[in-house]
Amino acid sequence: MSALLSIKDLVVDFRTRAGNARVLNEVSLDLKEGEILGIVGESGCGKSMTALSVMGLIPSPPGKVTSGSIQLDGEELLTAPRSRMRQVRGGIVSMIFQEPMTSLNPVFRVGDQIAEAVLLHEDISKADAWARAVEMLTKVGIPEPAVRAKAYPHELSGGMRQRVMIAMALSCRPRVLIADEPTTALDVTVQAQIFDLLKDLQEETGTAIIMITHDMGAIAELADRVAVMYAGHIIESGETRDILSNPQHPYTRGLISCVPHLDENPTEERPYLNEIRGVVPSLTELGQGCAFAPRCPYKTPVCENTQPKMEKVAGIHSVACHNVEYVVAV
Amino acid sequence: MSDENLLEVRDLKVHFGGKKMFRKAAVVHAVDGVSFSVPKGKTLGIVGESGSGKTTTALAVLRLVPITAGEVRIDNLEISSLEKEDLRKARRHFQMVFQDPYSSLDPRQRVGDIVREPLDLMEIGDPSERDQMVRDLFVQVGLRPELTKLFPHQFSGGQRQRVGLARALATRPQLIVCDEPVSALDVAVQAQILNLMRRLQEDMGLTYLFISHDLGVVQHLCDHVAVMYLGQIVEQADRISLFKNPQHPYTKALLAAVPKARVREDETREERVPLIGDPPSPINLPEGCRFAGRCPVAMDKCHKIPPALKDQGGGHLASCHLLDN
Repeated sequence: MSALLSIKDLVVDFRTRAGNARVLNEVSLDLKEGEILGIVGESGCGKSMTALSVMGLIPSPPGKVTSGSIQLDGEELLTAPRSRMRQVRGGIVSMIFQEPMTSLNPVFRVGDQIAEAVLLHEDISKADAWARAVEMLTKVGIPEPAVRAKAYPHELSGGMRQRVMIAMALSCRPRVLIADEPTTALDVTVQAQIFDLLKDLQEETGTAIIMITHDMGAIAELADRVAVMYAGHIIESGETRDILSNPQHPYTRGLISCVPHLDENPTEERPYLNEIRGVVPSLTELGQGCAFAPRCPYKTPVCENTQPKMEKVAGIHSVACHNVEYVVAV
Repeated sequence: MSDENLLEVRDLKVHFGGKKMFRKAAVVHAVDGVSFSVPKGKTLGIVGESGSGKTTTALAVLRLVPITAGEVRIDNLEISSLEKEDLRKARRHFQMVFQDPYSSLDPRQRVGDIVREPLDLMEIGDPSERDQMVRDLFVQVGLRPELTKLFPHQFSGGQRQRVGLARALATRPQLIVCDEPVSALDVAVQAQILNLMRRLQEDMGLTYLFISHDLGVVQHLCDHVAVMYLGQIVEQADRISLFKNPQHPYTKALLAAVPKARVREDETREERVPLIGDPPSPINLPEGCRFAGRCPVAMDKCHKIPPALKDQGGGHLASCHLLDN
């Protein structure tokens, strides 16, 4: 199956006082129809920027898409006229954000906000749009949807608000849904409900999902495929189970082993956590070599001079590391 | 009262509201009869969803919110009844590390002055020695001592949390209350701070009260764990017993909700029984068990009679009618 959304060699630069920051550096990603793709990484790695590029929402200036292409079903989005992007945003590609309180308008009823999205994209009456809003609220599991549609955001809990955001995002039956840290602000019990909801909706509607997160647990739970990002680069990608059970890049390995995972059978022994030494580099001060080299325990002279390319290790599992054989062997 | 417990909390209650200018207003039962103790040099974790009262409990222990009823003792000193100047002086023995390293440091103060301020206020050491003490504290939390002249915005989130730790350590406290100290940090930085906290505890014999919603972190760091729901402790046990053998349906649901970052051999994803709905409001509390409305195994009795927190064997406390049989 060919890709529904295809990002090729995308480069995005931000002009800052400290110099040029390359926030995305030759990022390539494919999203197939009906799949869930996870993008993981720490703050500032470029995962949200990737999402904003697809939506055509890179703040410009200071941001600028320098080169590359983003194709949605064969149509180039980077050169698409503004009017076309307005149709794409919310209609074909829609997005849910981390903080449901700040992304809902506090002075409008949630039903009106969902109906507004529908009215913008479809030629239907206000009454029908309202009916669609109530239908969507039912679909995302909000009790008494007809009543809740008349509620204001502050009258709903965090989990309910995120459900409203999901209802709004799916109200125009998009083909791609981008979820940017959709559960970070929520309690674990509510997070579990939202994961189940996303999975069910994905199976029912066939919408492809890009799930942006820093939580490997969320990836294991939802994603079919994963891309790991570091300092604007994709450094490893592959099927979820390959990445989780057999990570190859030193950064991916560090990222997985530094989290204290909940163990159902804990013992008295409590080793210290693995640390990734140092800090994420400043994007204005990246050198010629691998961005991870300054923190990498396996670095060799070549890492400091040459940027590693993504290379296939098995199946669709690719990794960008000069010393991958050595890293895996130790 | 045992000598070994640094912190003892008895039947702590914190209620908010109740009065509005000329009429009665609703009472929020934020903390409603909580008792626990933390042995010297150990860590007690308090977990629960937002609104469970875990942060209010922490603030009440430090007398940062008015205590409605109950008793808090730190090193056998009754904190809950201390008055102004005595309380201020006692504060050097218990300090706090906050969740958000961005808003808990004054942006207009140099970080060295932020760490020095508790020394000045508590008049610790000779004024001329204090700069050196600040530099020592910086080294202790893994910051270069030349950084004292910088401002908070020149630091990353992890470094700021180190400054927050240095400030808390400045008065050589025995108890440090940590309210979600790593939840605003990236995972790699989180590991660095958690390791630092453990090292400091070993070196200085610190006692931690650790508030968190992240069960993985709590399991890693804490010796004892208390699970809170709507202002009450529903289960409390040592780390191994609680995670290996959870008793209360709420604890079980909480543990089941945590996504596991591992792939199972059979490649299937675990089906779990999700906890439905949100916690009820702490204003109109249910009559019986507070969890009954969301409990997958609630019986008639649960909606009428609140269960008591009982020892289920080996000091593992839980409050649930189902465990009586």
